[in-house]
Amino acid sequence: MELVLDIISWIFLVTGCFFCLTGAVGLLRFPDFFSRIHAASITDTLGAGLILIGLMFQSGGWGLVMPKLVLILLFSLLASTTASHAIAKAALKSGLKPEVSSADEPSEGESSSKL
Amino acid sequence: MTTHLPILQVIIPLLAAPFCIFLRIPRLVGIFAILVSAAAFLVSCGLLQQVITAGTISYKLGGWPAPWGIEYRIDILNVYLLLLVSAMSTIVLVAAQTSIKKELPEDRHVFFYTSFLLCLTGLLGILATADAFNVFVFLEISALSTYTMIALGTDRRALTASYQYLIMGTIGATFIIIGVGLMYMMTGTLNMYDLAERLPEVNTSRTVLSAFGFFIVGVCLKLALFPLHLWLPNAYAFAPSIATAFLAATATKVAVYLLIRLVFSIFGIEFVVTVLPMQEIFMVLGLAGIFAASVSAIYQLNIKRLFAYSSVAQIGYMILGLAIGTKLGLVATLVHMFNHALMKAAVFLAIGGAVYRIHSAQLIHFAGLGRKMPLTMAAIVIGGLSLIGVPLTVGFVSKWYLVLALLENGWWPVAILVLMSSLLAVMYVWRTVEWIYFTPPRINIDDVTEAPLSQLIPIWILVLANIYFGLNTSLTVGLSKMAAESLYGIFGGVL
Amino acid sequence: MSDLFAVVMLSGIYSLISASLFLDLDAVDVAFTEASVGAGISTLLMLASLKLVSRYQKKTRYKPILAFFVVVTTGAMLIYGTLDMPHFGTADAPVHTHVAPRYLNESMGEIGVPNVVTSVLASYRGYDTLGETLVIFTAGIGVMALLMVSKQTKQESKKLIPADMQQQIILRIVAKMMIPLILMFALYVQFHGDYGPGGGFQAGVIFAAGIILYTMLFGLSTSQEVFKATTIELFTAAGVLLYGGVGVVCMLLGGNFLDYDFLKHDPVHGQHLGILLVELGVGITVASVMMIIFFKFTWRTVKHKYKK
Repeated sequence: MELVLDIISWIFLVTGCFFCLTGAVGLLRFPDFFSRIHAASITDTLGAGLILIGLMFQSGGWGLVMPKLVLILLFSLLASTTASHAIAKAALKSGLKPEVSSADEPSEGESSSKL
Repeated sequence: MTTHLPILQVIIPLLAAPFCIFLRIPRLVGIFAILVSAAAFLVSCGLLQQVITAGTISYKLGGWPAPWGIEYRIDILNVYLLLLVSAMSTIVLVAAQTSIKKELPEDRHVFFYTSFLLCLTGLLGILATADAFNVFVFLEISALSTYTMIALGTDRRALTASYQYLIMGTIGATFIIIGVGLMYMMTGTLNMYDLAERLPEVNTSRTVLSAFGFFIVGVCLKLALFPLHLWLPNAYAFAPSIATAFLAATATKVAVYLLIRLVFSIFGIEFVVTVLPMQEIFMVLGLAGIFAASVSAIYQLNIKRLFAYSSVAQIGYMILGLAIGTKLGLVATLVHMFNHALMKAAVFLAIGGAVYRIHSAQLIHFAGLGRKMPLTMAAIVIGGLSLIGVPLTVGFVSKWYLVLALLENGWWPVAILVLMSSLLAVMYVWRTVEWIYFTPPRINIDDVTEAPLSQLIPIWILVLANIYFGLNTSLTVGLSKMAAESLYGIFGGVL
Repeated sequence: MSDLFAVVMLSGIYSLISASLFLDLDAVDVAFTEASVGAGISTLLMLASLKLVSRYQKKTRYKPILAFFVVVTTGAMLIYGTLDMPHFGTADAPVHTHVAPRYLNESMGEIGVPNVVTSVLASYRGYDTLGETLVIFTAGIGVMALLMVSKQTKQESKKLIPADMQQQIILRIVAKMMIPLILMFALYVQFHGDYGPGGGFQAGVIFAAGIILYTMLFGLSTSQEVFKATTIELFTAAGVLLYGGVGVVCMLLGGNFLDYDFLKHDPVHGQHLGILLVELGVGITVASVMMIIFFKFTWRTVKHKYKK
C-alpha cells in the first residue's frame, strides 16, 4: 500500500515538475505575450496542481495537512486562472493584439522570425 | 499615581492624539490639545521634582524587568529636555489656535492637531525611554507626523520640502536602526544601560565600530548637522508657522539629546574619543556649519528661511560644545539647547504672527512693519539679539559658557572663531531689522494691526523668558551642570 | 529605470524574495509580515498611487552619482560591520545567550502563549508594538490630512462612479467567491496568532486586501455603503485607543502600564486576555488605515476623472 501510494504520488510529482519545466521553457521561447501567458498559466494550474496532488498522497492520511493542501489547490486553481484571464484581458484592452491569429496565418513565419 | 509619572508623560499625548479624531470639532480639538500639552508639562514638572529629590527613576513597562522588557529611565538630562519640549509645545499650541485657523483650511485642523500631538508623543517618547529600539519607534512617530505637518503648509513647495525631509529622515532612521541592529547582534540586548555594560567587552570589534558609525550618521541627519542639513531650510520655510516654531524649538534638540545619550550613556566618552577622531570631526563640522549656514542666512529673501539657516548654525554651536569633550563643554551644549529653543520659538512665533497679518514670509513684505506691529517685531528683534549673544539675553549665557569651555581646554583659536561668527549673526539680524524698521513699505500694509492677543501673549512669554533666563541662569545652568555631572559620573574621570 | 510600473513590480518581487529568505532563516512571522505587507499591500498601494501620477518618470536634471555614492558607502560599511559578527547560527553568540533564553524558556510559564514571537511582541515588548501601531496610525493621519476629499466631489460623483471592472464577469464572480474566504482567513490569522505565525499586523493587512479587492471590482460607491470613510477614520483611532486603553486599565488595576498580569486573577489568563485585546487593537488600526489610504487614493482618481 505504502509503495503504491508512493508510486502514484511520484508519478504526479514528476508530471507536475514536467509541466512546470515546459511552462518555464514556453515562457521564454513563445513568440508573443498571449502564448507566453498560456505557458505561464500552465505552471500554475497543471504544474502546481499536480505537484499538490502528489503531495496529498504523501501527507499520510486525513490529517491536518490534507485539507490544507486541498484548499491550497482550490485557491490556486481559482486565483491563478482568473489572474491569467485578467492579465490577458488587460493586455487586449490596452491594445496588444495576438501576433499569431487565424486571420494572418500566412504571415506566421514572418512574425515569429521577428522575435 | 506618582509612580506612574514617567509613562504618563508619554501616554497622555499618545492616547490624546487618536482621541482627537473622535472629537471632530476643530475648536474643541485645539483646546483639548492645549490641555493635553499642559498636562504633559505638569507631569514633567512633577518628574523634575521627583528626580531632584529621589534621583533617577526607572519604570518597567508591562512589569517586565529591564533587559527583557522596555524600561523608562528618567534622569536629570531626560527631565531637563522633557520639561523643555512640553513647555514649548504648550506655549506654541496656545498661539496655534488663531494662526492655524488662518493658515489651513478648516477640515484639516483636526488632523493638524492630531499630528502635532503625535509629534509631541514621539519626541517625549524618545526622551523618556532607555531602550534603543524604542527610540527608533518613537523617532518614526515624530518623523512621520512632522512630514505631515510640513506638508500641510499652504505653499505647494511645502510638499516638495516635506518629501525631501521624508527621504533624508528615512535614511537617517534606517541608519539608526541598522546601528541598533548591529549593537544587538554583538551584545544581545537593547536596553541602553545594559548595552553600556556589555559593549566594552566587544568594542574593539568592527561590527560595533560600524554600528557606532551608522548611529552617528543617522542621528546627525536628524539633527541637521552641516553638511547633512539640506532638508532643514526648506522644511522650516514652507511648514505652517506653528509647526516651524515647534520643530525649530524641539525636534533638533531631541536629536542632539540622542547624540549625547549615544556618546555618553551607551558607548562612553572614552570609546568615542579614542577609537575615532570624533572630537576633531565634530569640531570641524560644527565650525563649518556655523560659518556656512550663517553666511547663507545673510542672503535669504524669505525670513523663515533666514532663521532656518540660523538654526543650522546654532546646531553647530551645540556640536562644538560636545566636541570639546569636557564637562563644561557639555554644560555649554545643554544650556544652549534650552536657550536656542527659547530664542527660536520666540522668533518663529513672532514671524507667524506677522504672517497671520500679511500672508507672506518674504523679507521684502516685512518692510515698514516695525511701525504697524511694534510688539511682534520687537519680539523678532529681541530674539535676534539673543541669537547674536548680546548680554542680558539667553544667547549671551550660551556663548559665555561655550567660550569659557573652549578657553579652559586651550582651544583659543576656536574661541576666536566663535566670537567672529557672532558678527555674521549680527549681519543677518541687522538685515532683518533694516527691512522691518528702516525701509518704506513695499505692499499695502495700512490696515495691518498687531498680531492677535492669543499670539502676542505666548510670544511675549517667550521673549521675557529669553531675558529672564539671560539674567537668572540658576535653572538652566544648574540643571545642565547636574546632568553633565551625572553623565560623566557614569564613566568617571574627566578627560 | 524610468518605467515606474516596472519599479513597483520589482520592489514587490524584492519583498517576496526577502520573505522567502526570512522563511529560510526560520523567521516565519517576519516572513508572513513581509509577504503580506511588503509584497502584498504596499505594492498595491504603490500601484494605486501610480494611477494618480504618470507611469513614466520625468527626465531629471540630477545625476544619481551622490545617491550611488551613498549606497556604495552604506553597503561597504555594512560588509565591514559583518566581518566581526559571530558566525551565523553560533550557539554562544550574544544574541542567543543574554536576553533570548528567558523568552524561549520562561515565556510558556509566564505568558502561556505557544508562539514566542507573539509573546515577545505583545507582552515583553508590547510597548514597542503600541508604538508601531501608532506609526501606522500616524501614516493614516498623514494621508487623511493631505488627500482631503471635498464634500463637493463626493456629491458630484455620488452615482457617477461605475466600477471600472463592470464588464469583468469572470473576475467579479471569482472575487465574490474569494472575498468571504479572505476575510475569514484574516480573522483566523488574527486570533490564531497566539499559536502560529500571525497576529494583528498580518490579519489587518489581509482583511484590508479583501475589502480593497471588493472595491476594485464593484466600485467605490458600493463599498462605501458598508465602509463609510468617516467610520473607518474613527476605527483607525479606535484600534490605538483599544491598545492604549488595555494599558491604562492595567495601570488602574494596580500594575504598570501594559502589565497584563493584573487583568485577571491569574497572571497567565491576564496575559492571554491582554494579548488578545492588543492584537485586536493592532488589527483594527492596520486594517482601517490600509483601507483609508486606498480609498483616499481612489477618490483622487475619481476626482481627476470626473472633474472635467
